[in-house]
Formats: sequence, C-alpha cells, structure tokens
Amino acid sequence: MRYCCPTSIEEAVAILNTDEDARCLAGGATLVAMLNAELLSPSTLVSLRAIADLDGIRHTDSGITIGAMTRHAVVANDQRLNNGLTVVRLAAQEIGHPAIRAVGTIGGAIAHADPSADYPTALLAANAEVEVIGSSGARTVPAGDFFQDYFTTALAHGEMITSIHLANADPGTVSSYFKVARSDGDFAITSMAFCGNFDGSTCTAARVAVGGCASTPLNVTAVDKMLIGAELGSDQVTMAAQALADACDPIDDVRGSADYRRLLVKRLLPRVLQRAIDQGSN
Amino acid sequence: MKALDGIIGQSVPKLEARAKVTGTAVYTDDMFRPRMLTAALLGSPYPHARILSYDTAAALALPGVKTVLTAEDLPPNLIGHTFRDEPILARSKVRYMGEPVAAVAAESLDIARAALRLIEVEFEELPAVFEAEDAMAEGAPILHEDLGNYARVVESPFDGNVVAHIELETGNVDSVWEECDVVVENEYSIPAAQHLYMETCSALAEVDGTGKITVWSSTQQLFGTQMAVAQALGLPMSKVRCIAPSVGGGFGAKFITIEPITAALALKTRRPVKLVLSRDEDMISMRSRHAAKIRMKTGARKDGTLLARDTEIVYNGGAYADFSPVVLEAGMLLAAGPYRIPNARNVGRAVYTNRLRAGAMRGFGVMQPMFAGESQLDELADTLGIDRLDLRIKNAKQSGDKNMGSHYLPVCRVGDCLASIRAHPAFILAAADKGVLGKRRGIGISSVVQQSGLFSSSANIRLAEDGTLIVSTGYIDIGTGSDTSLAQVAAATLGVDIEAVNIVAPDTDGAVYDYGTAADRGAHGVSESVHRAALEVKERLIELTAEILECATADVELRPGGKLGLSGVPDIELSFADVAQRGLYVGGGPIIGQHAWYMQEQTIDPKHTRALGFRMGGGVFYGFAATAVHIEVDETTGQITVLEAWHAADLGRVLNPNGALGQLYGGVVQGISGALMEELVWDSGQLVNPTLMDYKIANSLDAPPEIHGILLENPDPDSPWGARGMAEPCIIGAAPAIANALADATGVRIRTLPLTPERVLMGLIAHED
Repeated sequence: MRYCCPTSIEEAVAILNTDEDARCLAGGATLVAMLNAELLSPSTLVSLRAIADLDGIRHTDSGITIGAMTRHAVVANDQRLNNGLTVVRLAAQEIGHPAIRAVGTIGGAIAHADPSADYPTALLAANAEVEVIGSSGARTVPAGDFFQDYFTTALAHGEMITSIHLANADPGTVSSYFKVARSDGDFAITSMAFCGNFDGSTCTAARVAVGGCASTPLNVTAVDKMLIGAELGSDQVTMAAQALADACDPIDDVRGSADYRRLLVKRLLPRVLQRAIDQGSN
Repeated sequence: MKALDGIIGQSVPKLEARAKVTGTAVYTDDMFRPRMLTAALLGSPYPHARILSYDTAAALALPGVKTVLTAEDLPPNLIGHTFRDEPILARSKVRYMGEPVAAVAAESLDIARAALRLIEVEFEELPAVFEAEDAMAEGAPILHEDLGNYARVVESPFDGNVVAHIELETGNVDSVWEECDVVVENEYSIPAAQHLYMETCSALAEVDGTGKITVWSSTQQLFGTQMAVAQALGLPMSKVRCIAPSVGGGFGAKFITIEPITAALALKTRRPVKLVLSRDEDMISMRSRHAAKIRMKTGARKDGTLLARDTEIVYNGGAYADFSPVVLEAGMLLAAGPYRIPNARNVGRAVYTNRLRAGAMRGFGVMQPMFAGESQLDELADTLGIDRLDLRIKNAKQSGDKNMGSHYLPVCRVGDCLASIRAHPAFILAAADKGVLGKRRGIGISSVVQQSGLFSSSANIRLAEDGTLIVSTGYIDIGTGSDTSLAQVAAATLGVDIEAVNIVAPDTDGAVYDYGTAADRGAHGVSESVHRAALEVKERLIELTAEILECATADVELRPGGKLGLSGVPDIELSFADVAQRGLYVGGGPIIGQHAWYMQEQTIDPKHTRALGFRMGGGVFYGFAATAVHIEVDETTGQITVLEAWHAADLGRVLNPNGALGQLYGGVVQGISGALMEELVWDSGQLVNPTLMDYKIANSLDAPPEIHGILLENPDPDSPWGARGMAEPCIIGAAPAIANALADATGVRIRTLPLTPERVLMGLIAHED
C-alpha cells in the first residue's frame, strides 16, 4: 500500500485520478478501523492532512462553510453554529468519545455514509450542501442527493469532498438533534434531527431527518409539509410521526429490531419538536 | 505493634500505577526477541463439522512462512480445567465456529495472515446445536462422543451433552408449599457476556539451547499455564517456564489461553514466536460468561418469613467443559441467596453446545441465580405488601449461620450491608424522588453472596543484604492492586516501609506456587501466606538478634522502620541489614520464611443437605454485599439511566481503602454494563457481534456520576487483619437492582437480561395495555 501526503487539493485530485484504487485518508477514525478489519485494501492512501485549505470553519455572508478536514471536536465547540444550525453542533457532540472527536473529520464521516452515524442525519435536516471536486472541476451536491445507499455516496471516481456549506437560515429558525443508542457514543439505533420554525407551539416550517432507519438518512417532504401548521401535541403531529415511521425501511440488527426503530421514529418526533422550541426560547 | 502495622488500612498508591499511566509498563505485546516470528490462527468456518483432510502445501510455500501446524502435527493430548476434553487445535472435528484449526508462524503478521488464506481444510458439516435446552433433547447432535473417556478432575454425573449435573436439597421443599401463604414462580434468562479485558490474549514463546521453553503471556494463572503447555506438548514441567509480565485485566477468562499453541510453534520452528489475538479473534475464540435459563419458585409466610425456594438452572457451557462443572457448583451452592431458607432445592445442569466455550467470569456461577433470586424477592415483597428492604433484612443470614451443605459462616453482615444503604443520606433522598411523567424514577436494591478463595497458595520471603524483603508468591496482579496489598501485608508484619518490599514478578522458575488470580484469593489465602512467611522471617530475625545481643529471644523487640532492639533499652538497636549480613557472612545463613496454604475445605454434611454430583464442597469464605441504584426511565424510548448507585461490602477489614473502592467502582460499573447492554449474539453458530462496535460495554458516561462505596469492617477470624476479598460480589447485584428499580419506577418487571431500551419500551407498552 502506497501512502502519499499532497499539499494541495489539485495534487490530491491528480493522484485520485491516476490511481484507480486510491482512497482519501482524512482523520482515519473509520478508514483505519476498516483497514485493520481487512474490509478494505486500497492501493494508495491519499492523506489530506497537509492540505490547509480543507481545515477549519469559515463564516461567510451566505452562511458557514466547514472544511472537510475539520475535526468533530472543533464543530462540537463552535458556538457560531446556533439557531437553525445548532443541530450540526449537537450531532458533532454525540459522535463517539473525546478521543474519536479529536481525530475524526466531517468529510471522512460523511464520505463513509453510515446511515446510523450522526452527521448525515443532521446535515440532511440542515439542508447542507456538500462541495466536491474532481478532475472536471468542482460541484455542489445537496445532502439529500449525496447519501445514496448504505456506505455509498454521490462522489464519482476521482472526486473528493472539500467542504460542507450551511446556508444562513431564515431568522428565528430553530433546530434539535436526538439520538437513541445502546451506550454513550455508540452509533444510533435511531436518531432524529429537526430544523424549522415555530409560531408559539405551531410549526411554520419543518425539515425532519431520521437516522438508522433506512439505507440513507431519510427526509420525507410529505411529512415536512404535514407539520406546517401543526401544533405540538396535536393529532397532526401524531399523523406526521406515523407517516414518517411508515416511510422508514429499517433492518433488524444487534442494536435493535426494525419494529423498535419504527416505534422510536413515531415517539421521537414530538420530542425533537419540543427541544427545538425550547432551544428557541433559551 | 500498632506502629508496626500502621500501613494496613492506608491508601497506598498502586505500586505499578505510575508505570502504567506513563506507558512504561511492559505487556506481552510490547516484548520482542531476536529472530522472533509472528503467529496467526485459522478459525473453523463451521460450528460443528468433521475434519476430513488438510492441505497446507500452498501456505508453507509462501515466502516467509516458517511452519503451518494442524492437529496432525501435535501430540494427541487434551487439556482442560475440569475435564481434559480440549485439543489445542481442533482434532478430527470442530465444535464451534472460529475454533482454531491450524496455526501459522511467519516472518510477519501480514505473511502469517496471507498464509491462513492458502490453507485448505476439507470439512463434512454436522448438525449443530446452540441452545442448552435443545442440546439436552433426545436425538440432539452429540458434541463429545468420547465424554466418558476423558480424564476428569471434577466428578459429576454426565450424559449426552450434559457436562455436569448437580442436585442439592436442604429440608424438604415439596412438603412446605402448602404452608406458604404466598408462592412466586417465574423464569429468568441471562445471556452470554464477555470479559472485555483491555489487553487481548497474547503469548510469546521461546526455546533455549537445552530445549526448555519460556512462555511470557497475558495470564491470570501461572502454574496452570505451565501444566497445560507441558501436557499439551507431552513435555515434563521441568522443560516449561511461564512468566507473566504486566497483564491488562482478566476477569476470569485468562486461565490457559493461547500459550500451548504458541509454545508448539516455537518448538517446531526453534525460533521465538509471538501470538497476539485481535479483538474479534479474542471475542470469537476465547471465553464467555455462561448464558443461563432459570426457573425459580419461592414461598413465604404472610409475615415475610421465607420457607422454601426451588431453583432449576441450565447453563450453556459451549463447546468445551472448561470451568463449567465448577461454575455449576458455585451456582448450586448459592442459588438460595444470602437468606435463611429452611427448605431449598437447587438442580442444575451445564450443557455442551456448538458455541464459544463458557468459562470463569467475575461473579462466577452466581451472577445468574442472584438475578433470578433478587428479582423474585421483590416480586414476593410486592405480593405480600412488605417493604423490600425489610423482607431482606428479616431473612438475612447472620454470623454463625450455616449455608447450604452445612457450611459454617463465621462472619455475615449482609443485613448490615442493607441497613447501611437504607441509612445513607443520599439514598433517603433518592428513594423519595419518583421523577416526572415520562421520566419516572425508582430505586432498586439487591443483596448477594459469593463463595470465594480456592485451592493452594504459598509465599517465600527472603531478607536481602540491605534488610529489604524479596516476596515471592506466584500470584499475578492483573490490575486488582494485589501486589500493593500483599506488599502492605509483608511491610506491616515486619514493620518496614513499603519501599523496602520487592514483590517478585510471577515466574514459574522462581516463584512458589499459587493457583491463580481468581475467587478473591489475593486478600485471603495469598495474604495469609505472605503474613505467615513474614512471621517466620521475624522469628529468624529475633533468634539471630538474640545471638548478637547475647540476650534471650523474649527480650528482643521489633521496632518500626526495619529495626530490632533490646526491650526497654532504646539505645541498643540493630537494623535488618545488620542482622541479614550477620546471617550471611558470620553465621546462621540467609533469613528466609515461607508458608504453604490450602483452603479449609468445607464438605457437604449429608444430614443437612442431600447432594448429587457435588464434589468440591467449596472453599474458605463467603462474601456478602448489597447494591442499590436510583434510575430514570425514559418512557418515550425505553432507555434506563443509572443516576446513582450504592454498594456496601462486608469485607472483613480494609487493607487499602482506595484499592477496595477501585474494585468496588469497577465491579458496579461492569455489573451495570452487563445489566443494560451486554449480550453475545449468535446466528446459526456465528457470533454476529465480535467487535466493540457491535458489542457495547458501559463507558465513563454510562456510569452513574456517583457510586457510594460503603466498606463494612468486621474482621474475619481466618485471615490476617481479618481481610476478605471483595471484588466479586460487587459485580453481581447491579443487574437485579436495576430490574427492581425499573419495576419500582414503572411497574414493569423484566426477567430477561440485558435490559435494553427496546425490551424496556416493549414492556412499558405491554404494561399500559
């Protein structure tokens, strides 16, 4: 296995396009574990650690851009991620343990595309855009299109993630994230993320994402629409929760059964809505 | 005397703490030898299959491969703790998926692993059986056709797949049910769980020019390992030397692991060989706690007096006997719990199945029936309308009582353990906190008993030229702090500073004998041995001093700081060094003390208890404890959070308070972990969660923010300073306490572990309907 450490995005892309079987190495929290388990044996590891442009959180007029190599710990502690973007910070706080958050990166986490991981669900609710670059140039992929299947993304061969862009939300947007897991820091049995607006306890805009319940994090437009005008505690919320559970396609695994996951989806929706309202009133 | 033994009861920091924290402690995997090879094992792809043939030619031809071993290359010897039923590589058939079938030694781990993929083994798959009940059914596939021919250390009836069968009865259970005002009967289920020591099993073996093999390994049993290596390879023990470097935990699993096969590879290649299991290899092929199915029935009078308990347990022993017969004995001896129950019957079986072998684990055989018994006691209390603590205290065994089999209990303060928790200020506050709708809270309690201390120990102490002590026991500190407390015992007996005590690293070529780090033996038999050996040193010191001072031995006194003097004359004083050197260079010889110890075996009194299949009769002491938890139940998700925990240990005398509390905290958290999330899951014989991503254990944030440790001192008459071990009972009580707290908070009773959020939520929903 070859190891290289390019110092520019262009150089990294060039390597990815000359070597059929090269893989990007970001923080290594996931990839190295897979190498150790002999699940992967790439011909070349392209370490991204020396590319300064990929690291850090930038605040711009249009929103916040998180570099692909930004560590979970940095995102977890960035207070600029508030209101509608709090969900991303909360998700980062829930990833693994301090040691994992010190090495793992947002780009590495979403490239892995585990539907039970924290970032994919949160970024889907936040309607994030994934900035990718390849030999034919840069493009932007909405989170909803980026996650395509279990451990499968919209990244084409030779492409890599450069950053995640979070557009400024409407004023008054609130958000929340909640995960049910077997132990602290574990992957989700089921997780749920919410971004939206409320007028009192009535929802006026909603974007809900569910993790751990399908091959990708799940956002159901019809459910988001059902929530508009719904008052917390009303039958309308219950119906939306049922519709969301119906749209899930979970599996049975050691973390929990498909039935339990569907049940959680129904029961968690009121909670994430309430938490978002609580966040707004704080 | 008080000044001499002032170190007893002091929180002396662990001797090796600095080395471990700074990363300088040497574990087996840290060791390298010149020309060392690396080994890897090939696991069976079937849970039960006949081995028809091997083809290792391609693997042997791979550059860098030095040898490939299969059972055909090894002597046909079997090993085992209770039955010798286990080959070091599968012979003629495999009995669980992942069972080692072949071993490779190569120039690197990559080459060794590549070689494994080139080994071809032809199997004929056999019908397999995974659940103990199925394995006992007529027509079930038989795992060990030669069961009757195995050499056995433990005698117990066996038949088919039943490894051992024990029945014990005190009183007459069947005759008293009609006298009971209330009878509760239920079934309980405990899953297989794993030890999850931080350091996976590791061994390094080297053969010297005389043909003697030295094995360094991560073990909790030095001499048993030496014997197993010798037996497996057909060598005299004089040709096998075992050494334990730093060991990263064991919890009962590291009793003969991969040392014999590593030694076989070294013997074949005549080069040093290291074998370190990966986490998944370790989880697939080492040991688990016994899964158990329990049917239990308890009856009482209206006033809460317990009259009868009937317990039937089936332990799933997995593919090899290992410690199953002894685990079964412990469960049978103690299934009635720490209570006075005049009529008690315990019937148990341990059964072979095509799963990973089950072996010793902290809470040895007892954790399973205690979960059932302590759950059932709350069910009984609720039916009777009696306070759960009152019911326990009313029926608690007392000092001077007898246990099943008529075993004498000189000290028993289980009632005081319960009372001390009840009186704890934080517990009083917690008991009043019922939470809020949707996040209800409850408290749960349990009291438990564990029988501890087994077989033989010994100690040898020599006084060095400078008056310091060289203490050898062969007991392995696997992280429990035993080296420190044994040093305290030696220091206290002779009145020296702890810095003057050298605890010798365990090495069969130097150490005297010890059975192993198990059953809370360190604070009891090993301490006793060190104490007695030190007393012998003291006697020699006094004799020689009397010669030097030309006085009677009765006029010589030991003084703090390693000094001896003439009684009543402070100015006349000699140091240990003076006396040691006198012995070495003038006359009297080296000053050496030693002691050999065997447990006071308690046998079954047939007038008291009718017994079938029970050999051991048990060891030396019984440990008692009580555990309580305050939990919150998330009624939306089913998640349980342990908010606070209490554990009161009836431990005789505290040798090292911080050491004791460290064991207590660790045991309680490991118990909480087992209660809430641990379960090995198999699918058609394949372990589906052999990684720490799929098999979770509690981490620091899953542990309650506060665990109140209560150390109740009441010296044991049979132990130096009255100390008893206390690290086993503290794991046992958490699971029933949490199940009881769940029932307290929500009314939902769950009799199957672990108490996963899914199981709890399904229980809550069923309870609402």
